Amino acid sequence: MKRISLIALVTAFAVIITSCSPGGMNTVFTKDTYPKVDGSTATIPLSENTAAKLLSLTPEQARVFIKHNTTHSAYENLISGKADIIFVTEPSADELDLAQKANIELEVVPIVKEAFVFLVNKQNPVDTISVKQLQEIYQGKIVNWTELGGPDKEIIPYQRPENSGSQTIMENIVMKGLKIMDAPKELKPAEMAGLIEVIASYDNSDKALGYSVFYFANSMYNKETIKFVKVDGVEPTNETIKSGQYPYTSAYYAVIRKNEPKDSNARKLLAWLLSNEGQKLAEQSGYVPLR
Amino acid sequence: MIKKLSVILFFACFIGLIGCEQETTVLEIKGKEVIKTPVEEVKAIMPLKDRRYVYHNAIQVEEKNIQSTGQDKVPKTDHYPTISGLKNIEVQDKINQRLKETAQNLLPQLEEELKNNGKNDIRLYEHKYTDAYITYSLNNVIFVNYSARVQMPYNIYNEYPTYKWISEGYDLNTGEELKLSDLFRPDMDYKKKINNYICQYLIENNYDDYSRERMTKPFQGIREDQSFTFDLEALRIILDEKNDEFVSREYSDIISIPLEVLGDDLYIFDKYSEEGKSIYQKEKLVKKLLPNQIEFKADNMIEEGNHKYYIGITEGKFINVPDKNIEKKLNEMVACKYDVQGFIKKAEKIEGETTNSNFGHYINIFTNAGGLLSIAVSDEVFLGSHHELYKTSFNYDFNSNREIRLKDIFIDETKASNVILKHIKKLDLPISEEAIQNGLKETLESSDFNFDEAGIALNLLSMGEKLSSNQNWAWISFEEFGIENIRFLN
Repeated sequence: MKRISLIALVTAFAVIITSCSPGGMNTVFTKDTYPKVDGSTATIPLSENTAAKLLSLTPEQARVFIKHNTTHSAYENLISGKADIIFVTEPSADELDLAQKANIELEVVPIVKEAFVFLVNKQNPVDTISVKQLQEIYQGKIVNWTELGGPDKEIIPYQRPENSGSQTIMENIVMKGLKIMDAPKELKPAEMAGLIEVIASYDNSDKALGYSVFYFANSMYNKETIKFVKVDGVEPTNETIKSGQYPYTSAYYAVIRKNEPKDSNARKLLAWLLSNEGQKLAEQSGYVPLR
Repeated sequence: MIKKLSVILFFACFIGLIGCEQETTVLEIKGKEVIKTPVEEVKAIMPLKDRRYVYHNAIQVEEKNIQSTGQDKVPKTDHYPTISGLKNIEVQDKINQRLKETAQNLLPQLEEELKNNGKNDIRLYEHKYTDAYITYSLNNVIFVNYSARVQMPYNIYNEYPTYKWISEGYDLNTGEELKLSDLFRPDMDYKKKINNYICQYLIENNYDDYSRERMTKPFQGIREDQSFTFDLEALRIILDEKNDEFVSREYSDIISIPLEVLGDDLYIFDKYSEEGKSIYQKEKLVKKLLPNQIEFKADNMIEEGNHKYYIGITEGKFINVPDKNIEKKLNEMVACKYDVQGFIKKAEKIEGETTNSNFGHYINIFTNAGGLLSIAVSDEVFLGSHHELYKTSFNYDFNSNREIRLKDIFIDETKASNVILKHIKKLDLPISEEAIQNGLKETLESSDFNFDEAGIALNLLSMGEKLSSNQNWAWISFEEFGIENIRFLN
């Protein structure tokens, strides 16, 4: 915990320094000097577009140049030295443990913002739910949409599979330690034979309440049938997420080894991503910039 | 504006007067210029829920298998179909050329992709394959799956894609390739409908959870040249290299949109065919039944056992049955009424550590299409060396609202009777011809059988008591009766 606080401070400082710097930075890379990059699947567009911009590559060339091996493998590669910088979600307890065992300290720096959003059917008249109400719904205390100013219909609060990223966020940043009710279940054909009981998927019926992350859910292609719920009256948008007005925000991070020299290529790339130019490219790539 | 409207109205009347002309047009006035745009005439579309059947295409398919070795010395196998039986030989040749070329051209595309991955080494190739299969052939349309594969040593096989497949559909009237839009009424926004379905699918299957690592960015919507294939169950959207927000894998992901979701927006069944107008040398067409709305939803599946016994029970309910009385009857039928606890007690009493005791309650749906339903509910008991099978069949025609007897299946009952007699005699069962003939009279009047679109399953118990439990059912293919003698296929 102490380590994370220190990192947060370092990050804040880095952000301030970078935001004071002029729009563009004179960061020049060649394919040979570009740091070894890895990361999650969700950060591939950011990584490819960054490489394309800094190495003057075509999108196709960037696609061949950048290879992300998914979150956990990226952490492993960073710790073992196979990668110099990774673009990922924050480290899990397992990954922190792995780093500790390898005697590696990680520097975790937010590079773009993310948010946790709640979904309902577009026909549902309920537009806003408070933080407290969300907790009470998922504790099983609020069970009818009338309690939120909606129709006299049961609320079906869908959840995500255990240990999935969305479910972990739900437990950590929405429920904050409160016991979450049992998820609605459904019978599905098992892979070999028979039926198995699984967590029911959000079906977008007029009774349904579900959740997702902003980056993927924002377009929902054109949101013909699904809408985001305002939380405490704040709609999740690029602006409210950026400003922190929307209550449930998180981030995608760049992670480097803390002992990276100050003038290392990994640090240079991180600094560029935090620059105005880097943040502009992040926004153009579909992410919510830090500022 | 009024002037413009008057001109449009004038032309609309003019079109009405010459309505017997072949082509409908929209006239737009731009300054002094009149722009004439042909508009596709939409035929009447039968609502999907009312459509009981479509027709098999009366084409013959011959499979070609060609072995060769190229300049690279790598052995190659090409497999592709050729069709015959169309009246229009020019169109037939065009399709056959397309089938051959598309199959053969896929391999160079795969090799190019391997080359672009920077990892291909032709010296590692052990064999090259191309394959093409007709996967759908109804109402004057065919869909064909093409694939290419390069076989490499197993230890490097998993390193990078060595397989590529595509699907194409063709109109047998013209030989032209179908676009996704050709499947739908021209006046509907098919992209919106498909995109909405895919969004929902992605949420349901947690594609939007970053920890699943299946997508690099949000769904971008289907592409203009979206890959797809079609069959009687679903429109299948093939996520290939064009859908680059999805993480690419060796095998393209498929999102299947059930036909009932697309409903009356589907135009493919009406667009390319016309009742009574055949494009085939063979005039008589055979029906292919379309799935009913009726569904069996299993809500209880028990699979348990120990060293003494094994139990497998499936129970559930039929839903969307058009007749409430029949629904009630079906749901009573499928409930397990066997004394399972009694069976367990008996099985546990059998001496020895392992026994062959098992009990199964199964629901077998033979036909659920074309307004017809044929089901069997079985309780099968093996208790030590003792074997019992209790089987109840139910056959119903929702088009005429009556139970189906075996004789209703055939146009010529006498001819069918002879075929059954001949078939049973060939089985060499311990029953006399007289017993078979007497039993057959009873069987033809009964509903104690099952059928699908390929044949019938007959209960032979009424023909002889000497039959053992594995001899009392016979499967007879409709080919033996002659398809022209099967009432619901003609």
